[in-house]
Amino acid sequence: MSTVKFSRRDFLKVAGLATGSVVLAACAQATPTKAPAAGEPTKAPAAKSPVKLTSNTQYWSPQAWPKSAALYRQLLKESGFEWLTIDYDTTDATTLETRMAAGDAPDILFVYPELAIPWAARKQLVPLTDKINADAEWKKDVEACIPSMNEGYTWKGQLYGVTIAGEAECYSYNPKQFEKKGVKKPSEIGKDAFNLAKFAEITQALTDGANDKPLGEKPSKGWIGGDLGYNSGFGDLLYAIGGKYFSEDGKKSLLNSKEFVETAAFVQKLVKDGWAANAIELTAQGEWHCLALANQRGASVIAGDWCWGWVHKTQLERKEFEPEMFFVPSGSAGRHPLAHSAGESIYAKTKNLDAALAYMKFAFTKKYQEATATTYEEAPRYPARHDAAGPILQKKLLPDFFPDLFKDSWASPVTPMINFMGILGYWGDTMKGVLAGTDTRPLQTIFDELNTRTQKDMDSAGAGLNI
Amino acid sequence: MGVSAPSVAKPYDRMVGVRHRERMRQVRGLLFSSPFWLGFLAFTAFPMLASVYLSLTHYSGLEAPVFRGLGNYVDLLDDPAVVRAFRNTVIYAVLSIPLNALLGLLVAILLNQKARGLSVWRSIYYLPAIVPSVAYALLWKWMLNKEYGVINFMLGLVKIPPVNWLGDEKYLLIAYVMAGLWTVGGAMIINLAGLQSIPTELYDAAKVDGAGKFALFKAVTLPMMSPVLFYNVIMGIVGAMQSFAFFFVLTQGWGNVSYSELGTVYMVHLWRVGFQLFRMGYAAAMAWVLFFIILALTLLVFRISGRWVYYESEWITGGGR
Repeated sequence: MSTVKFSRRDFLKVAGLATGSVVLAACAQATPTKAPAAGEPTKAPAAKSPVKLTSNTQYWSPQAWPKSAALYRQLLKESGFEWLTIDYDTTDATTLETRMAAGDAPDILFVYPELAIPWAARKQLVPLTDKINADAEWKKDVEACIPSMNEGYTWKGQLYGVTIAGEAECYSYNPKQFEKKGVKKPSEIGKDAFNLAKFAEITQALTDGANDKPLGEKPSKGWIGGDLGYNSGFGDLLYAIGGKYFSEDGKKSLLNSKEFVETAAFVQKLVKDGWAANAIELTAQGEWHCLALANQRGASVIAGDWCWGWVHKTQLERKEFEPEMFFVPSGSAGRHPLAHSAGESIYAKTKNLDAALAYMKFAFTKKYQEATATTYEEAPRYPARHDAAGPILQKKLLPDFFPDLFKDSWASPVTPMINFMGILGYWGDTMKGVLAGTDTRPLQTIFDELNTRTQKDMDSAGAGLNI
Repeated sequence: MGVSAPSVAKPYDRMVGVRHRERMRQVRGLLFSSPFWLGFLAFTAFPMLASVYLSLTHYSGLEAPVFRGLGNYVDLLDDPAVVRAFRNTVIYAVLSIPLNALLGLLVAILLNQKARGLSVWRSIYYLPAIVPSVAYALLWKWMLNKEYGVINFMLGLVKIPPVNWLGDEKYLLIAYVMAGLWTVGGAMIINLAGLQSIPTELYDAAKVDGAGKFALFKAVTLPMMSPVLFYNVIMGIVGAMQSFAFFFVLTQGWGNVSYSELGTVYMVHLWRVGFQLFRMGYAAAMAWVLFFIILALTLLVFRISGRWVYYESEWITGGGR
């Protein structure tokens, strides 16, 4: 039997070679699967070859997510997708960007429109429109979705995502308070007559010192639209009088427009006069609910977000509050609620493009969206299409205006230049100064300054973009 | 039978052999130390050099950088958000560093006494210092919660209304300092080691000279501890200026100032600029400016340390700077 001498030198050679190979392998870019050519319908991979997709979870509902994930897994199993499994991780948006820079993001990305559009502009997402147009079945499902939901994920004519949790703002009220104060309900006034002036009049009439103490303490002159974000009512008021946050192409900020300053003045007056309803509050138990539940008057809520689940779980059963809701009042430009949403997109460098496309196509179907709607209590959400809204959403939570909640809604404000969430901080600081009265400069001056800064941030962030 | 002469290598060959062995020894040394220097090059030197370049560019992180010279540094001088974040950080540092040093010394002196269960007390004071910053930030987040935090509960017992510690920038810095003191155990353990290394002869000699407790502290303990305190101050400056995880976790969540800039510290703002605003180049410039500020502060402290830091060895050998 021959023996092989293995000297230290040989050992070092082998070890060096192996280490080098490992380093090279680790650094190598994985080759993504070839995308189907435009015009070629998207087909699921053969059932015999199981595929595992990765996806980041919805980090805004970590407690609820395991149940939702189990539901989706079951749904895939029952819908001919036995070959497809999805592994969820907890990567948040910031980490996702870092992972994208390293070419290592999950196959399916949980996104909001304000992230999807900047990411699409930076070529991190797979455009879907060509594939959809080539597949009649898929196209039909896409067309069944609420237009503003799709618009939220559309950039330069290409759709980049599917909505899995829709939101549109409205204001809720306690009918008993209206009766007590002898104030006509918005539904009695009529939709068209319920404008900004009427809204101010009603909030004034409903003001009740005795009930002005939510959560056992006096609010410090609450406000609506406190952070200028679409989640707090400001956007609806702004859109109602024809204003916008950004220009059509998303390159210019319009925060010092006549309409913007007018909206801020309207909100400021409500607050100053003590008529304003607060936006969303956090209860002692750490649960979301709208202030309407606490002060029994009325408040901004995000229909489709936590309020629904909370209202349904608690107040409907206790009969303390009926979540009748009314539209955001219309201004001269009509009612245009902001349709904010959360959705899913495909990462451009996925190694499983065919499977991801098959999953994405399925996500637009009524069946998938129905499953989404059933999770409203765990992770409240409105589906991307009305026909998938279950009876609870249709009859119990949205009795007044189903399916009109999203009528004439506009996609939430986005810009391809920058992550909108990144600038909300100083927008909020500015609005806080305006509403709390600490910034006493003329509103035009304040918003000129805000606009200049926002534009500067947008220009800097988008400097490398060729758009 | 002839005896063959032993092979004697020529001097040249011997020299070549020695050189070869020496070279191989060096190669082996390099290979065995390669985990360190490869790691250093890949994960420290390269990122540092890359960040110098990136600080001179527009770079979003997702597309190629665009060179813009010193533009980011010029913009920094005129950025109110950066100035505010820096001001908040400095206020935090000015409040927390002396408090930490003082409290660290006091606790160390207390724990240097002869008492029962001393090791248990030392462990109790030191434990928070080794809790990961994210964990203790989460703990303080609960304690400082406006509605159900234990601090407001205790204030309520003495009829003080609840304070919105994490939702109102007026109180935020106080909350930072208060929570930061929780890790005073780190300074305490270093001070304790310093206290125990002070020769007892010095105390004995001072007592013979009639020194009281305060004089002992002033004339012996403090001078002998000054190098340790100096070290704590330097580390405190670096730590306070670079703090991120603690502030970041503490302020996250609705109802808190997570999105607001008013109570933001420098590193959290740097993160926001880089990772939320797609301005990695600008964030890199911010990081380098912070580096030079910390360097300048450290040099300043070193420069003035001659007036208050006492090195026994220098006195003995007659050394000095």
